[in-house]
Order: sequence, then structure tokens, then C-alpha cells
Amino acid sequence: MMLSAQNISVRLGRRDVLKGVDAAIGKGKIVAVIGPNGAGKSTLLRAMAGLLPLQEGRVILDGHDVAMMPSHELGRQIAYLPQDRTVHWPVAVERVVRLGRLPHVPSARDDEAVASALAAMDLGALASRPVTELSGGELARVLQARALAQEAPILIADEPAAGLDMAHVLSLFEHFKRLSEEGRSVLVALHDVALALRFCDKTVLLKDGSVLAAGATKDVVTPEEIGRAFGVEARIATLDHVPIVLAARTLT
Amino acid sequence: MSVLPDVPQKNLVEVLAQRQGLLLGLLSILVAIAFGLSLMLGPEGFGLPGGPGMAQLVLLEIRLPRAILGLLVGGALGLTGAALQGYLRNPLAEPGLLGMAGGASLGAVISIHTGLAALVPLALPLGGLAGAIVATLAVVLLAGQRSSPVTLILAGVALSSVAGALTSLVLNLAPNPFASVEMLYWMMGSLSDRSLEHVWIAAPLIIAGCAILLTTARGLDALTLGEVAAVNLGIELGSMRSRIVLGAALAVGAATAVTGAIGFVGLVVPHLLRPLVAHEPGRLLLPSALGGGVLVLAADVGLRLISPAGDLKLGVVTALIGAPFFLWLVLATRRELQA
Repeated sequence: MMLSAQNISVRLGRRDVLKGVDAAIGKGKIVAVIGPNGAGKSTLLRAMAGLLPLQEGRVILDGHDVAMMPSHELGRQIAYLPQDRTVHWPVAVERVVRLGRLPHVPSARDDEAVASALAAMDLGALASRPVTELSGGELARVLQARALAQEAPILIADEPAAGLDMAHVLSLFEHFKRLSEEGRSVLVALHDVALALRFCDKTVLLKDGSVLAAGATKDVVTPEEIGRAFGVEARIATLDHVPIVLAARTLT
Repeated sequence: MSVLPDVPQKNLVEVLAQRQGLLLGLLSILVAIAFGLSLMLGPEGFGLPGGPGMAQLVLLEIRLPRAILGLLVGGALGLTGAALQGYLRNPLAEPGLLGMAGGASLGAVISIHTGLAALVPLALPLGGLAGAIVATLAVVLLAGQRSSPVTLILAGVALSSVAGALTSLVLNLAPNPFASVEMLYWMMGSLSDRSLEHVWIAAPLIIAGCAILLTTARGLDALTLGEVAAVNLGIELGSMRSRIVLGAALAVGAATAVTGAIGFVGLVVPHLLRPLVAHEPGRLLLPSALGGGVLVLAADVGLRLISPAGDLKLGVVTALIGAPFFLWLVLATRRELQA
């Protein structure tokens, strides 16, 4: 599975949110999209999931233009987790996760996929609770589990770590690692650039709708590039082999 | 399965599925009882008038059309209410929201005003249908091709107010007091004096509309997570919107054309049944259709018991049931917010 955005431009309202962006995810890779607020991270993810009309360029999935693919077929190939965490009715957790099976023809696999997604996101005990009774972080895990239950070769997740406690952030990314070892691909938008350094093979750094840097994460998440993108003086270190990124001060 | 050996969620699915079957069974029994009561109830209480020929005539020509229309119209309103509430993700949506009911009322009132209704027996329901068709086309044109639910609501509300204003104008310019009384009575909604012809006009359209609305169940479930997630789950939003508008137009347009405006059924019924389907919008559809049928039939039986002479109108009774329900809704919401 190979998903690539080729020179895509997206306009939302009167604003050019993406201007000629290239990005790609290969089979079994974890790719991070980072950048300051308003850089176009969410828009890039939605475009790559085939959910936005493009002004220019194409998004290609294994040789096929995603704009031409029927949406149920696309839903089997790409699972997309939006940043928006609204659930409109107080439906039970298990039923929300089961919505991930909608693109598939009903089969015995459905129950297994739902059960393993619930287990992966540590939701077994909450399965029958209405989503309205959950905390923000618990709800985030439910929606992540919905995307996992879709069992698509490609997972695109917009800020999946936001609102999670530190234990669940860690287990989420360890799960992403397992997915990538199974040959699946993960594309995530992140605010915590240290997570990119720790878990992601490649990183795309966006600023003002353009790619500032892209490539192996260690070449992209550097004090120089972070400084250029975010306007901060960054320090990068490792502690017990775990990378740490610190914004020391804002650059003026 | 290996990950979660005792899979609690499997039990939940089973329990919910069982409850769904149970719920549909219970509602079907209630429909049968209400339908039977409606057939057996006449101006002199329960039973059939004497003489075998007479009994058959009364049953087939008077009471059967009334009971069938009650079931169909109630079903159409309950189902459309549930579908619109799910589609717009708003528990206050009701079948009249998209303007079809307003259009049907206007069409019917015009056919009374012009005297057509007095000349041609079925001009009244056909005028209502014509009004509903015009209103639907206008809403679709106004909302535009790639419209969101919000533009659809806005178009519907705008159309409803235009239709309401024009209906008032027609009432205002009524040729004589009798015509204005006839229009007012018609607008209050009623199942009385409807014939099998009314059933033949309305039934195919209502059934087709309901069948179309029932195809949206998966899409309504997916929309629980919002539009973007729904598209990722394989839902074609454009096709879904067309089915919602067409289904609602057929069901509500035909229902309003034959019985006049019957309010609150489409609002109240989905609300009452939602907890019984664990708040899942897709599974709410069929129970709401049955529940709507029960409510309209029961209200019609009730008003005939209260006033056998027929001076109470069905739309007035459903509004009298519905308005306190609204008050209860306000209090329940307030309690929830305070808790």
C-alpha cells in the first residue's frame, strides 16, 4: 500500500490552505505531520484521506486517484480519525466502535475486529457505557478504536494523542508500532514533536500551507527546522534513549 | 476474540437485538389493538350497526379508510420525524421542517378557495399534493446542489414561512365565511369523512416514501460521528440527502394532502422511543413508524370517544397531547443540565 499526495493545493473559502504539497506514506511506515497552528496539517490529512476536493494535484493510492474511488471502497482502504470528537447521540461505546465496520460487507470478522479494537484502546470495561458519560480522553480512545475497527491498510489520525493521559499516549503509539510491523501504514498529525522523533519513521514539517522540510524524522526534527517553523529556540536531547524536545524560548 | 476472552460487548449486541425484536413486537400488538378499536368504534359506541349489508358498508366504506389512513399518516409522520432528527442530528426536527406540509396546506386551501374542491370530489387532496410537490422542488432549488443539512433547514424554514404567509392570504381573501371555516377546519387535520379513494391516492406515495426513508438507516448511524467521518465510513452524503428529501416529500406531502396538518406526532414519537433503541438513529426508524401509527390511531379513537358528534379535530388533539410534552422536555433538559 502506497499513498501519495502529488503537488496538491486546497482552498477553503478564500484561503489557500495547502499550496503545492507533496507527501507520501509507504507500506509499514509511521509518518508524522507537524507544524505550527494553521499550517495545514488537518487539511493535508483530510485531502490524503480523499475527503476534500483539490484545487490542483492528485492523491494516489496504489496507482488509483482517490477522487475517483467509490467512498465505501475508500473506507476499506483508509481509516480516517477526525480531530472533531463530537458524537451526536448518547450511543453505547461498543456501537460507536462497530460503526468502523460499515464500509465492510457484514461478516464474522466484525465481532473480532470490534473486540480487538476495544481491547487495544483499553475500553473493555466501558463497552456498554453511553459515550456521553465518558471523559474527554476516554471518548478520544473510543473514536480511535472506531478507526482501528475499520482494519484498513492505512490509518490517518488527526491529533490522536490530544487529551490522552501519558500512559494511553504511550500505548496508542505502541499500538501504531504493532500496526506498522503488520505492514499497515499510519499517518498522524502531531503537536508533540518528541513523539514524532520517538515513534515516526518519517516526518513532514508544514508551515503556511507548504512543506518546509520532509524526510527521515531525525533530519526534519532538528533545532534549526523547529526554529524555522515554530519560531522557538529548541533543545533536543535523549534521556534513557527517549527523545525530549524542549522549547527554550521564543525567537524574536 | 482471542484478545478479549469473555467479550462483554457481544452480550450487549444480543441484548439490544433482543430488545429491538421485543420492541417491534410490542408496537405491532399496539398497532393491531388501536386499528381494531378504530374499526369497531362508531357514533353509537363500540360495535357495528344492525343488518349484515349495513355493517359491511359501514366497515368497508367509512371505518376502514379512516383506520388505514390513521395508520399510514401516523407511520409517515413518526418515521419522517425520526429520519429528519437523525439526519439533522437535532431532536427538535419535525416532519414539517422541510416545508412540504406547509406546501400541502397551501395547495389544499387554494383548491377550497377556487371552488375546485366543491366541484371535483378529490380536488382537495390533489391540490395538497400539488402544493407539496411545488414546495419540495422549491426547497431543493433553494438549498442547492452540494448543500449541508443547515442550508436544507434554512430553505425549509424559509419555504414554510412563505407557504404560511400565502395560506393566511388565501384565508384572508376567502370568498365567503363558509369557505374560510372549511379551510380552517381542514387545516386542523382530521381523519373523518375520508373514503377509500383518499387511501388510494395517499397509500402508494406514503409507502414509497417510507420505504425510501428506511434505506437511510446505515447513513444515519454513521452521521452520529459527523459528516466527515460518515464519508470515511462509505456513506455518499449526496445520495443520502436526496433520499431524505424525496422520502420526506412523498410521505409527509401525501399524508398532509389527505388529512391536513397533524402536528407533534413526528416530534414526540421518536423522542419517546429513542431510549428504547439505545439512542441509535438507524434502529429508531421502524419503531417510530409503528409508534406514529399507534399514536394517531389512539388519538383518533380517543377524540371519537370524547366527542362522538365529530366536532373535535385530530390535529387539535395531537397538539393538546404534544404541547405538554414540550413542557416536559424543557423540564427534563433543565434537570439534565443541573445534574
